[in-house]
Amino acid sequence: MIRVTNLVKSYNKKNVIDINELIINDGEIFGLVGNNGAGKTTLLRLMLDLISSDRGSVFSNNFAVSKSEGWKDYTASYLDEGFLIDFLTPEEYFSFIALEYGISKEETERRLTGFSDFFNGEVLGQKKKYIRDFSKGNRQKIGIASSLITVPRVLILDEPFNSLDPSSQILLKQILKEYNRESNAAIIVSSHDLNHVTEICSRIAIIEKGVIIRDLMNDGNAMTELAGYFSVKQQKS
Amino acid sequence: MKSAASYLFSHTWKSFIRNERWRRNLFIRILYLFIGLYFIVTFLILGYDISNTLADDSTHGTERFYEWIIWYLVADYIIRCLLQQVPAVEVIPYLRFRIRKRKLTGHLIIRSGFSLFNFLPLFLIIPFAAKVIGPSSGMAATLLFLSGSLLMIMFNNLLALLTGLLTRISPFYWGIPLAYAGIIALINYLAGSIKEISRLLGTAMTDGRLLFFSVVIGLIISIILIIRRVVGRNLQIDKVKTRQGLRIRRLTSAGFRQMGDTGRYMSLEISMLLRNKRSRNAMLLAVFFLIYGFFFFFVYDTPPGRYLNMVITTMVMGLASMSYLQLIFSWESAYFDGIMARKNNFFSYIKAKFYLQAIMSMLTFIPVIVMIVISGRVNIFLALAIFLYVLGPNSFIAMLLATMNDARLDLSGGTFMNYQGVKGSQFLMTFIFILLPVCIFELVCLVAGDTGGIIALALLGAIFLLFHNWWLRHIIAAAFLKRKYKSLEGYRKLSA
Repeated sequence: MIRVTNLVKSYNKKNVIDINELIINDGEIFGLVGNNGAGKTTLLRLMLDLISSDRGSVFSNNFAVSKSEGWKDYTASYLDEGFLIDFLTPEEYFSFIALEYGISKEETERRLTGFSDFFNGEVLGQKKKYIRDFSKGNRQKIGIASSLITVPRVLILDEPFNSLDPSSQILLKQILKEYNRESNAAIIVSSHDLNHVTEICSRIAIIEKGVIIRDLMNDGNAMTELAGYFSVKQQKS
Repeated sequence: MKSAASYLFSHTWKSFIRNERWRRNLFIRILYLFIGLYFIVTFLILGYDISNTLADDSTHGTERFYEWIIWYLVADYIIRCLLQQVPAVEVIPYLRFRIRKRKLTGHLIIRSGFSLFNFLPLFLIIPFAAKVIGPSSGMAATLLFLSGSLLMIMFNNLLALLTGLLTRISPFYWGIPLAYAGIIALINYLAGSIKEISRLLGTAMTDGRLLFFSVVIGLIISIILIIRRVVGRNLQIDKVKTRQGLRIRRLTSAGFRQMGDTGRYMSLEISMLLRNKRSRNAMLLAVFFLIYGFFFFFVYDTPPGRYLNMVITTMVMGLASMSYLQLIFSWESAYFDGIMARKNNFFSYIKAKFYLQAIMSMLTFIPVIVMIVISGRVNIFLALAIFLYVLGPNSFIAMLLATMNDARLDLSGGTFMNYQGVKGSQFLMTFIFILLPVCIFELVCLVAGDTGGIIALALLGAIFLLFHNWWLRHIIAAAFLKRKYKSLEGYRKLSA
């Protein structure tokens, strides 16, 4: 469970995150939508203790993420290419992460076979190819898979559908839903794309200028409400 | 409408002037200025000094200068091959426009002219021409000498640019610098001395021999033509970018696996060092210092004083590994977010870096100590004490200062004069690394004699080595974690 309380982050005296309270429960797929610069990535970075907050805290179960590191045992994430060690081959990168989380070689291979459709034969077994030599889409796949092979209880992904081809987008949605069902993990996904979010998320929050302005259960009407919100916004501006 | 060439240059200028380094504080800007001036003044003084000494002996003076021309050209070319940046990557964004490749090539050639390597020799040549050749051989000879020298600098610059472009296409082209050096060595062997030929070359310049000038100009033109061809054929993104790095054995080889977390991080670090251009170049610095040490211990005729001996020994032993250590966290700036977001053992991570540095230092230590024993220039116990000191206190200071460096470092850039990721404090460190042990030694020597000085250095080194676990955990790791957010933010800035 992730709990955000009184969280404020500001740059140049301007609040870019200002959230009173937000609780994300185990088993939820939580979608974070918002326009560019709304604060999605900043919020995710705060959840991962990659930037410091000016006020308030993020708790993961009972750990305050900025105070202790126990939450890292069960949390995995992929925000951007800054997570990839680009001079390793994908195999080397996966085995590096697997060792970090104490996953055996055989188990890693077993888990990776689960991604064979997603990788579409383009990622594994290319001995001479470093991550930096892959296409953007394939790098994105490597990053997402590297977070899933640790079987996290909390999974945080920033714009995971970006750069993926349509088939891979569909596959990724299946993978995330299935993983959520099997593991009861909390999955936090940010996206610009309302379709993707409404398709997989059980709960969706709209963030604008760092503030969560709507927090809806995805019960069928969410898409209409979201579309309404974003088109109204467009008319206003 | 602006012509293509003019905006290429205006962009080059903007990328220089808008570099993140100028945004840093005033102190660092002043430091940059100071360091630039320092290099120029050093070369000027050197040029002036040499000329003065040579001027006293006017007939032999010029000849003694000429004797070194070919050696200088060879050394200059090889150093350029290793360190000079090929501005090819900067051309990538322009490939999608309508600019003709011929224009881009022209831009590349002219850009390569603005390299420090082309300006430094001027500070040697101009004072020499003015003080020595002018008075003895007249105005015409001086001008001929200057233009001949400029042509040879141009030749070296273009040859290095061509080599740089070719080695990006295939590493086999590293054979060119090897062949260049080999041919010179062969001529030296067959003809008895390269100095003789070098002297003839110098006289050919001042005498204005048509043959010399036409050969050099002919060579320059043919290299330009070859560059045109090479660039025209290969100016494609995959070829312009850094070629693939060396392959090393599997990430988790058995030896490292036994060392647990620390071993795993060490093997990651080795991959990082070997597979990226900037880190590979930084390691070449170690070779460079070894060659420098070789010249100092064996070729330098007059035995220098004890002070200089110690400064050079410290430099040869420790400066290369310090240049690695001072960027110890920045090396990984491109993916530090990932490291910090994952579960890892930060202490093992830091320890791995320290151990790896110690192993690399030991590797350079072996040839250095052999040279010291053979040449007999430095007391062997003093050399051992310096080594312990370099491993201990110097590593500690370097790592502590590395925790304060939060500039991003691009692993694919060159090293020389590439101050990306380097902050002002690092320049000051160079002095601390060399001068501090010398000062400690000299001070203790005053009170307790030479043996006392050696014991003091060795003892300091041993203490720091013995307690490395303690200071790595409680000082270095703690200092890094304290500045964590600031560092991470710095690493995310692409153009730092």
